[in-house]
Formats: sequence, C-alpha cells, structure tokens
Amino acid sequence: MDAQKVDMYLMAHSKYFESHNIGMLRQAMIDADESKMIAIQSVSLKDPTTTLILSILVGYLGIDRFMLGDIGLGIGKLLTCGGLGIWQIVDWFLIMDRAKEINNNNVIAALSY
Amino acid sequence: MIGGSTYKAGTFYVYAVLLLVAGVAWLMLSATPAISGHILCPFRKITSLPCPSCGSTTSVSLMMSGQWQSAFYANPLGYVIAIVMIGATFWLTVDIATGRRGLYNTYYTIEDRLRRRPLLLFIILSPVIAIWIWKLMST
Repeated sequence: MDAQKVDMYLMAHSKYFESHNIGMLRQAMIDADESKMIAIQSVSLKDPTTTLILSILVGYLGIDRFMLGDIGLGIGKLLTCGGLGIWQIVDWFLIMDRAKEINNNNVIAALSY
Repeated sequence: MIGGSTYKAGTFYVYAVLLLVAGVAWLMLSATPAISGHILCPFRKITSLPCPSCGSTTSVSLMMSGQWQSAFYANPLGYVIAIVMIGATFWLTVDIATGRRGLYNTYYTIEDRLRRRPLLLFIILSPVIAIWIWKLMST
C-alpha cells in the first residue's frame, strides 16, 4: 500500500495502537496490497480511553471485557464480582494496553486474509 | 488463531492455573474466622447492594458440607462455579500433562462463537441477571 496513506491512517488512529507495535504495523500495512485498505477501514477499533472509563465505572460487572471481545474473561469477572475486587483494580491498569493489543491483533488479522 | 483477543497458549495456561489456585485459596480462606462474613466485594461496599455473584462463595462452602439446597438459595451460580472449578482442575491437569491444548482451543472457539452471536451471550447472561434481580428484591 502507498506509504503516505499508511502514515495518514496511523496518524489518525495513533491512540488505538501500542507505540511499540506501530513500526511493525506500518511495515505490515505497506507490504500489503491496495485492496486491503478497505478491510482495514472496516476493522472495528476499541477506544482505550472509553474502555478505561467503563472499567472504572462498571468494571466489576465485566462490561469492559465484554466490550473488548474478551467474553470468557468478562463472564469470569461478572461471576466473581470483579475477581473479589482485586481483578477489577488490576484491570484498571491493564485494560488500556489490552484494548490496544486487541486493536493491533485485529488489524494484523485483517491484513492476512 | 481466532479473532484478535486470544492470548498465547503459554500465557493462557499460566493465567488459568493462577485463577484456579486463587479461587481455591479464597474458598479455603473464607471458611476461616478471620475472613468469614467479611464482605470483599467493592460493589457491595459502595452501593450496599448485592452483586450478581453475591453469596456464591457461601454457596460453594455449603456444597462442600453437603447442604445442596441452602447452597442453591445462597446463590445458584455457586453450582456453575463449582462445576467450572472441578472441570477446570481436571482439564488443566490433562492438558498440561499431555501437552495438548484442549481447554485453550475449546475456550477460544466458544468465545469466538459468542462474540459473533450476541444473542447467545444474552441467553447465557439472562439467568445471571435474573438471579441478580431476585437478590436485589429479597434484600
């Protein structure tokens, strides 16, 4: 794909990805062909900040995990009342990076089809 | 593998074992006088309302002393949790001993299916919500 388009995409979406993955992501996008652009645009990206807010407000119900697609962990969090409160607090620190990691994986997966 | 939110197999099994050990430890600790009756749930502390799994620890402890009916009244989810804990112990042991990834694959296949069909997820969660409403009404 055109490097300029890739750079524009990454600049517009920089908050959705972990900084240490951007280099690899950029290269993967450049190596992919033009038709993948649409596939990438249609990947639903999870906003890390929104997820963090959800985690703080209703984390004990596992809603933050459900919104990220971590259904199993979401159910686990729900059934154990936020992991006895401990998991809920741990997630406040983990959840933003997890959202970015999921975004990264989803875009890479879209590129490989 | 499937979808964007899978962990690597090694990480998955480490977390699974840690969670299981934590669960068992909590269960045993909750019977000791130091912790018994002590509310650890943040939801309960802030809103003084029960959360959906309120009483599930009590439920599992009651099951261990054979009081199946009281266990159900404490929280029906206790049965789910008991089954998961026992099942997970066996499955994790088998998987780690044989080096296969049965639990890992099944877990992520089910998760993927639930992610694609929110209706299934809703069907699974509605008993949880029903239990919660029942608990909220009986306080």
